[in-house]
Amino acid sequence: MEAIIRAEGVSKHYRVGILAKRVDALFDVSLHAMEGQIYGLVGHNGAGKSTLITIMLGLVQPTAGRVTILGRDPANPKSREGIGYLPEFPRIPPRLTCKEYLEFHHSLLGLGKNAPPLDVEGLLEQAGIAAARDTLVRDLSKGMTQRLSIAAALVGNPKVLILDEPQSGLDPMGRKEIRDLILRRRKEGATVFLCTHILPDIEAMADRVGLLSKGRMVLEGTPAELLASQQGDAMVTLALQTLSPAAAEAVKNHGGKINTGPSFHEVEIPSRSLEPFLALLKQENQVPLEIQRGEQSLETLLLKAMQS
Amino acid sequence: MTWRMAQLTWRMSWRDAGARAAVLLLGLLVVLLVLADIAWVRATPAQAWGGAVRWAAQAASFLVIFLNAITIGRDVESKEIANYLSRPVSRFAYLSGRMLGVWMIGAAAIAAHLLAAALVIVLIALKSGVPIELPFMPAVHSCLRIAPVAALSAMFAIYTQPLLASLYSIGVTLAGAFSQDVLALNKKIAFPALQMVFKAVYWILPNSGRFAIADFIAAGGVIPPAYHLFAALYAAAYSCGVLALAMAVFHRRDIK
Repeated sequence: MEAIIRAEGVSKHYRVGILAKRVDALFDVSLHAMEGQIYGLVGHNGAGKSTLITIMLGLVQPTAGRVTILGRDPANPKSREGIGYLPEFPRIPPRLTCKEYLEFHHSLLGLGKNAPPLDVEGLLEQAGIAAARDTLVRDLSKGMTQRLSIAAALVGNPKVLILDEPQSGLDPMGRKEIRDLILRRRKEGATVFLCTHILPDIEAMADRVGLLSKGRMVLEGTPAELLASQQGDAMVTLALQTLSPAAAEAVKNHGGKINTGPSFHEVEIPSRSLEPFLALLKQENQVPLEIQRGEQSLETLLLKAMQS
Repeated sequence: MTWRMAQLTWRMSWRDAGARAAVLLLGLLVVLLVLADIAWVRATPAQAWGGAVRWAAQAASFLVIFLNAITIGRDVESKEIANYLSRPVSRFAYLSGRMLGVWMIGAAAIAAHLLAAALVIVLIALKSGVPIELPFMPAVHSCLRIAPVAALSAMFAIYTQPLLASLYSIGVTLAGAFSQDVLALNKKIAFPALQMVFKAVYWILPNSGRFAIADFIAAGGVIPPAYHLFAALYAAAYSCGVLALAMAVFHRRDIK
């Protein structure tokens, strides 16, 4: 099965200032998203997410590597026929009405007679701004501008949606509506490339996840693959009757924690250290009163990876 | 796509109160200058019409320069350009569309300004009983004259910031008014190397003198039809050349 979005070894560096100082934005980034998948890209501010998106849209040339969308090079305008894009900070001509803006986007599709008909009311309805059909863009609030940009990204029923912070500036209800909209688009077969800081949304929706940090892809895969690969970092809690100095030292060495209670000691250690720690307890002829395995969520995994 | 971008530029510019006010003020200035020609210089209707065509072309040149600087400069600085280039719109279509739209506004402004000036000239001529003849072709040449200006200002707007782009465009356009003098100077210089430099400058600058036929006609001169075709070809070739130069850089420019 051919990937709808594919990036292979993409790097980008800029030269800035009078001395042409080199600034590295991306290093050897690879990812792929299949048809009907939601790809969630997360990372700190300045991690390189927007640079990667602009490369995907052909707005920025990669220094090395290659990107294909729907099997084509994005630098070719034809390749963008099937893409809907929501920028992080939407800028819309202020003196157009919402209807005119959508009509303009439709006119840019360039499909001639093959262009799907434009359903202005339907698009505005989906984005939750049906009442603003004839309102000038300059009179819209930030959240409504965001919703109009989402509607514009949906013009032409694109096979690929590239959404950079789609829930930015929206109220909680709006966020839920946009989440539902993304899920609905996936159900209809669209591939969604979602760039967001809202980790619970990534956990709830994404079929594949990528974590960018300082321009490098530090984690990439399906949520199940990522959780399995990081399972050793999940914490295990043991309740112990006594705690010898050697055992306390071992807990410290493994990066664990000790909470001393009135009748027992509660020890937290990473699950990868559980086996040697149990062996140590066995040498001391001690059996834990209770062992509890903590479950690692994708959100905590991503948070940890971002912090580290 | 070029046409779509031109339509957007046209629509957005006319909806801008600032652009409308600029067209109106420049129109008033053209009419005032025509009145001044008639009142102080005692210009005949034909001479006053020649002056009106000249002023209207110059006013439209400034309008085109500032509109291109503002429109393209704002697109790049505010990243609005990503709205267009993330669709199946080539960079050439974007730039040529913006240029074409701004040229259309300049041509419409020339038409409106000359209509107002013609009305004033006709009213005064009718009152004084002087015969009137207002030839149409100088107005067409004014529209042709602003095409190279539109291309130059679009190129500078892509290269640099709006203010600098405006200044560069004004500088090159004004220098273009002296291109006939550069050619004359070239003939008086004995050094072949310098001659080549002056010849190159002559071809690089937009030769607005080619389109200044109003005064010649007012003086009773007759323009052969082939000259009109030549002027149109020059305007088209110069504009395409400048656009090609702009595209050489814009084609690979990163739009961050």
